[in-house]
Amino acid sequence: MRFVHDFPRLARVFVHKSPRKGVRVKVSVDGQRCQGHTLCSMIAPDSFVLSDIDGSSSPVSEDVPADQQDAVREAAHSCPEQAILIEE
Amino acid sequence: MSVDDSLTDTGPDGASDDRKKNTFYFDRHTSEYREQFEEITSEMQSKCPMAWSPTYNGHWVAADSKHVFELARCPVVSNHHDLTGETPYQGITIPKAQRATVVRGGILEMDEPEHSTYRGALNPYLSPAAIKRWKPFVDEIVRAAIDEKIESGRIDFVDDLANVVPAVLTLAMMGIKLDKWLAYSEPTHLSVSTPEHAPEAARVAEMSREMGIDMINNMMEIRENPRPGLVNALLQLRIDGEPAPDLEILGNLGLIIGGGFDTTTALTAHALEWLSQNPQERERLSRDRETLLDQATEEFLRFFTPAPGDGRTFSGDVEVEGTQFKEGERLWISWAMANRDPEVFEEPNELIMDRKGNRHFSFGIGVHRCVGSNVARTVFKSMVTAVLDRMPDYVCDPAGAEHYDTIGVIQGMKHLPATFTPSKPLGPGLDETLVKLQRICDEQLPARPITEHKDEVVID
Repeated sequence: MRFVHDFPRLARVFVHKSPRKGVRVKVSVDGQRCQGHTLCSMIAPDSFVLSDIDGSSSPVSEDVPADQQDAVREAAHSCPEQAILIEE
Repeated sequence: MSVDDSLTDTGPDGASDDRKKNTFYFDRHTSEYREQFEEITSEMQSKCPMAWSPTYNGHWVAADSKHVFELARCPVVSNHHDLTGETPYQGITIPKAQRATVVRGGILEMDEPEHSTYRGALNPYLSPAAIKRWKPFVDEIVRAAIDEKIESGRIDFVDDLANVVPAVLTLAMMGIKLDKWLAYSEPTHLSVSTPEHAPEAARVAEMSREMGIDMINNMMEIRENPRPGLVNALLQLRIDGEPAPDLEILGNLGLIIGGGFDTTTALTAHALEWLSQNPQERERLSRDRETLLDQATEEFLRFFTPAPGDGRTFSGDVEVEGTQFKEGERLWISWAMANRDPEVFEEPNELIMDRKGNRHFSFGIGVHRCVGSNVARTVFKSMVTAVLDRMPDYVCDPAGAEHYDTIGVIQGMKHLPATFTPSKPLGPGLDETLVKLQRICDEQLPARPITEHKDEVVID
């Protein structure tokens, strides 16, 4: 029981200490929620592309490169519609 | 204003109504609300983030981020404005405007699917890609407006800059002649800042009437001889094969003007006043603009929230976040108060130019997100950048700075005079420049939608 109880904490420590490049981050934009506020592409211009017609957003790719992960997290955090989903 | 946690009824039927137990006397049209905005916001958020107010025949007030976010996206919360006045659907104003209303407020007073039909016609003119094409045009209006004043060492940032640029650009995008800008700009600003009982209200109403007639004339002219722009977009729109009714077209044109003028003016004036009061921050913004200007713009938007909220009407019985609402009840959604919610924004009453996670509410939430948001940002950034470059030592005169008496409709400013070290103009003044820009509009047709034309305006 003790081992099981402690496992999540140990796992978190392990993830935290793992090299940044080893973390896989996936991103998607919920098209029903996105209203084209454009903050994501201001914050992470290499990771989001906006429609010419109405400014709605899509990820450039589902897998986020290591050097863009912080910016994509900040974009998700800043989305007024909370339309950006991140899996890591 | 005060919280009244008693169970006494405030409903029209006289019976006790537990739903409305969190009663708060909320009157955003008073100068008290402007003066005590931070205290009232904090009190409502801690005691009654979802309040019932007995004011204006009774209405709900959403004062925190959670309720604002959920209600603005709720499918049974309606924007519709029934002009007959026979139903409770009164659009986005609370209270209902005293003046006789003959048109709805365009897409802002429509529900789906009608809203998306009209909005779809406007989007290709207003998307980020569409607005990017106008940047050299905007910069040129800004240059000319500043050149008018640059040798004198004195400017009123409202009258001489922030009232000029949004008006000229909006007319250009609509396909209306640029030399009409003053006939559109003056009544639009004055009708927001002039109380209905003020002595000058009759003069303002007459100016508004003349602007309305010019709008109708433009609509008829463009119908006969189409020229590109937002007016033409609405004229070309077909709904089930039929053209849109003239009154709906006029309602949308009124919305474009009302939405495009006073809000950007308000944002710019407040930001320039704050930067004058915080000269170190001004230097920092100028120095680090490459990385900071976008973030700072969003923070100015959050902090000053030019359009402080919108009215709605419940179109069905619904429970949201534990409160039960009934069909026909009215609701005020406060973007301005949600923008000060400590649950979302650390130190909400501080202006932090490089704020992180700034998911502000200033352009609204949900399908009615401000259709002109990209125009507002582009025009604001152009004006602020030019002021930082050309009058870096400007100082606003606090004695001459005049804020709107109330912030119930727009958190705006009437005047913001400033002094600075004079310098030489970079080009011709406003009148000559408008003639040139009109020629450019006629030759390059930049008011076409992004689907037809992708090139930036060339200032030749």
